[in-house]
Amino acid sequence: MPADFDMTAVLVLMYAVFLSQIYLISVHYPRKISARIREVIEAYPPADYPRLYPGPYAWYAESAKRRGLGLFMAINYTIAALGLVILGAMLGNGYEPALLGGDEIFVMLYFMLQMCPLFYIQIAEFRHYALMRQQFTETRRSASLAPRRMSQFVPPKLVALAALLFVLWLVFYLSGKGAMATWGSEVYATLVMITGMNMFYVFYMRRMVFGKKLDPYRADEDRDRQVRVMGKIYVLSSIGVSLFLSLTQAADQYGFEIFDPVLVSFYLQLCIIGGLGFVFRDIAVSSLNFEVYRKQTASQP
Amino acid sequence: MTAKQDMEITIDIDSEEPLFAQVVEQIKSAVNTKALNAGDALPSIRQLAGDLGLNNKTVAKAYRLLERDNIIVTRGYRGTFIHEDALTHCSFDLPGWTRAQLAATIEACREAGATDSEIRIAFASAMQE
Repeated sequence: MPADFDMTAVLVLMYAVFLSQIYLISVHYPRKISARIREVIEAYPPADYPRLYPGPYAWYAESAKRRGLGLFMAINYTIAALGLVILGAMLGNGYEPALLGGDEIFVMLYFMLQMCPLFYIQIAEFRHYALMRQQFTETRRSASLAPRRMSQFVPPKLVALAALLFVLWLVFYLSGKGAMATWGSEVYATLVMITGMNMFYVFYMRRMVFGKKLDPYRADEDRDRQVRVMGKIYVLSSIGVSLFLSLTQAADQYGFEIFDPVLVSFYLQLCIIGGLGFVFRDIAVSSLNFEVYRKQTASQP
Repeated sequence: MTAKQDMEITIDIDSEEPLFAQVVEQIKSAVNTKALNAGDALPSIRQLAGDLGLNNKTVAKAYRLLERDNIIVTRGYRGTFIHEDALTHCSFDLPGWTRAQLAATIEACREAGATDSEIRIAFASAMQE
């Protein structure tokens, strides 16, 4: 049974959170990404750091230096404008969130749209690394004989907390859903999705710690730092998912479903702050070793 | 105990010496120079192969040979470590000993009148047994 709420307060909260989602994901972080890429291109140009720009990337870099990441920013601004139009239409039509929840699906769909340009940047980064590996011609290769351990990259206490919260969520979720005979397909889908996500994090972390280097030139210290940041992001993400799902479950059980869209939007923003935010904060461009990409002179190995 | 952080091995993929042999020789050399000591942990096969850009099987072969020679010891999931008596075993040059044994056998065969072709055929046949 849904509880009684002051609809004006609910709407003010909802619009504030959605506006924040639009600004954060389609304006703030795209600007930071664009500025970071330009910072690298200007400080480490293709002429002096050819290893950083394999294949067509030297041309892309020159083009980006002259014109900026115009298309990337234009797409993000268009998505932001679309978000504002949707909010305007909701306001104009006197929209009120459904008392029993369900509108969060629209928040998620809009979020997916917002993520498209960021996914594109991610795919471009993987292509970039693949080309670097193709052009890597060093015949002498070195490796440290010190073994790496997962615990060097992910704090064990944080992992234990993530595991504990996962179990607590599982117990809370399943007790809320009742006996097994009544489980619907959405219960199985949720269980598979969340367990799969946690397993993916473990698998991908192992790959980053023990697998082949994505960037064959990158200095070991920089690689370790990046893996450490990714490990922190993954564990916090796992903790965040457990907390978020427990909160939405509690909202369903105690009649707060009306806040589901706000909760979802808030959670998605936290994911972005926790993901991109950590990368920007902990891996500043100036702290990376770019000398490994510098053009080799005849006297250098 | 883990290997010293600055301890590195370097392989040359253009070298005529097989890659697994380069790994074996450099780990033995690190034991001989005491850069690696008894009980020191070594990286996993996957880690070393990934860092050197080699196939896992190449590093696995090197580790197998080192284990056979009691230079390293694998302790299940805990990892791979330098053997307690690695330094003693490192001083024994097994490839050199094998070469000397074969040279003596070949010399004996030649003295008995066997031609090089006959020796090669006999060697190949013996290896297949």
